Amino acid sequence: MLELIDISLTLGNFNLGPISLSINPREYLIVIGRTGSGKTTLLKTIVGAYSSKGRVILEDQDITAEPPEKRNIGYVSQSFVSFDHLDVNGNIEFGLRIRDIPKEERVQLAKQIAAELGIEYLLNRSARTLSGGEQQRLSLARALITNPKVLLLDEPLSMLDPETKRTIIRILKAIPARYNVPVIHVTHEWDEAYTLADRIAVMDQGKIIEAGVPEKIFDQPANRHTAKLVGFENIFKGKATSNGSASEVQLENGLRLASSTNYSGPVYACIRPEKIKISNNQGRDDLKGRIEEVFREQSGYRIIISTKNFEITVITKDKLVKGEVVVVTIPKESVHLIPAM
Amino acid sequence: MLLVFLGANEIISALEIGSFLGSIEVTFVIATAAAGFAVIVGTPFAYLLARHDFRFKEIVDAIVDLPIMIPHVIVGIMIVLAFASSSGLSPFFQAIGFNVIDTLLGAIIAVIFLSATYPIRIFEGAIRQVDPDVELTARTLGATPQFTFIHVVIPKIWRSVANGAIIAWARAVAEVGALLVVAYYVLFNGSLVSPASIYIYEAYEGLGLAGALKFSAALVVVIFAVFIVYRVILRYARKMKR
Repeated sequence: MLELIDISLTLGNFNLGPISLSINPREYLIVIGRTGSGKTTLLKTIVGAYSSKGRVILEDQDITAEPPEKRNIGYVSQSFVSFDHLDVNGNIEFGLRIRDIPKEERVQLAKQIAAELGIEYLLNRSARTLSGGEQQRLSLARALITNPKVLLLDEPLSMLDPETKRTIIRILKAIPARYNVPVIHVTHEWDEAYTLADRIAVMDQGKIIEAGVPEKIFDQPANRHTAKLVGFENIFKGKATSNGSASEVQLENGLRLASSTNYSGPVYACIRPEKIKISNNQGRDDLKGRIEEVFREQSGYRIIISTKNFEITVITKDKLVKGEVVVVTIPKESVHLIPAM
Repeated sequence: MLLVFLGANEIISALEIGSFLGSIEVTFVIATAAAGFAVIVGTPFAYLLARHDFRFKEIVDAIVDLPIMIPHVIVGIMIVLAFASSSGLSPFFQAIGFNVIDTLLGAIIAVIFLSATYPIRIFEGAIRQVDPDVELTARTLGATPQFTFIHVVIPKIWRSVANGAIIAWARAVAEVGALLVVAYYVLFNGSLVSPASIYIYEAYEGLGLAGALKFSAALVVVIFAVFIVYRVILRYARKMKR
């Protein structure tokens, strides 16, 4: 088990922490955050690249002052890292060579892990000739062969094409159970996080602002930044008034919305674009607007609608035309309220 | 080319003169020592400059560039002041028998200082191109900083190291100014020998243009041959690595 206690550090103008976080045996923890939120800095602090305040406890041992080579923490960098003067086998067994493992055993172990990760056929190839997916599997094999106590993955899918990504996701998902190691994986992609995580921690401006199981984070985020990150593209500030079992929200943009969340007080009303419905029929005048932009997407069309007082983003299967006047309907179940502090 | 063309007929005769061959030999010894020093000391030093920020780094940077800013005669005078005068630590060096005037050691110290700038800057640029995550990855696999430097960083920058070494070597061969002050002659294999650049300067002073031409042409041809052989070896080594 890895435990971070009040970790903090300053790098130039950026402040990380204080962060307290723990990861359980064989847990897949995703740290999600926007670019520049401090995810990579957090990983590099755990691995020992930066010295920080606070304590890093790994399996009941305080490793805060230990250099990276003494921590036994596996690390897969965001960029494809290969020791390109070595072949794939040389890369995989690099950590074993340092541990003075006899050559025969090294070869055997490298062959075994390469087979498990589907790169056995590459063992004699030069590392510099590999594709992105092969490089990433090589990085995983090289990190896992030393039996690390924790595996840290820095955006391991960010440089891969969609098909390769799907292959690597299957490999990643199996790692905690197969290699008996907890994984901390950082990303800014919420679908990647949702697919892989046992638990998600959300980072913003160097701090963990929220943590929980994926369903909770994605359906009921407790923080406006989290909501934005996980796909609530429409966020409006307002004041909610409870009516017993639900709420009525008066937004600052003049709009009144119903929400199934029962709350009174200042709020952010958060609405996913795919939950909003569009029609050409008559409806509420304050929800009538003109289509400003239409973007084609894999799941349909992303439409920006401008009403008298606000702009709203909708995802729909219907092919609509720029300039068309439509009416939006916002079901009260899709209006998630977050208390505004 | 004009030099080689005009002196072509006399290159062989120049290379048959024992004193000239001795001067080439001593020059190559000095230059090879400078190149070796540049690689052994220059690469870790360049790593320090490329990867670490420290107090007064700007001053250290300026000192590295100093040899290309000042006339080389001044460097010779600096070495005499430091090791062979009555000031500073000079009396101490003289007391322990550390003699730099007209010695191979003095000549090597002079050319090391004067030729170090170029390889250090070449190594530094190459090290900056190496992704720091490569080193961090090696460290997480159990490699110490020293192991990582030797087994991960150097293999990645070996071409730049090779280029830096030959540049340091060439710069050392070409040195005149500081050697005029520090090592006009050096004691080498029991006799006093001038480095090749000074030998040619002396020939020009004593024999005039015609006298200096054949030695100049011969030295250019020899150095050119060394460069070609070096490049061929590097090319072969590159192929072997693939």
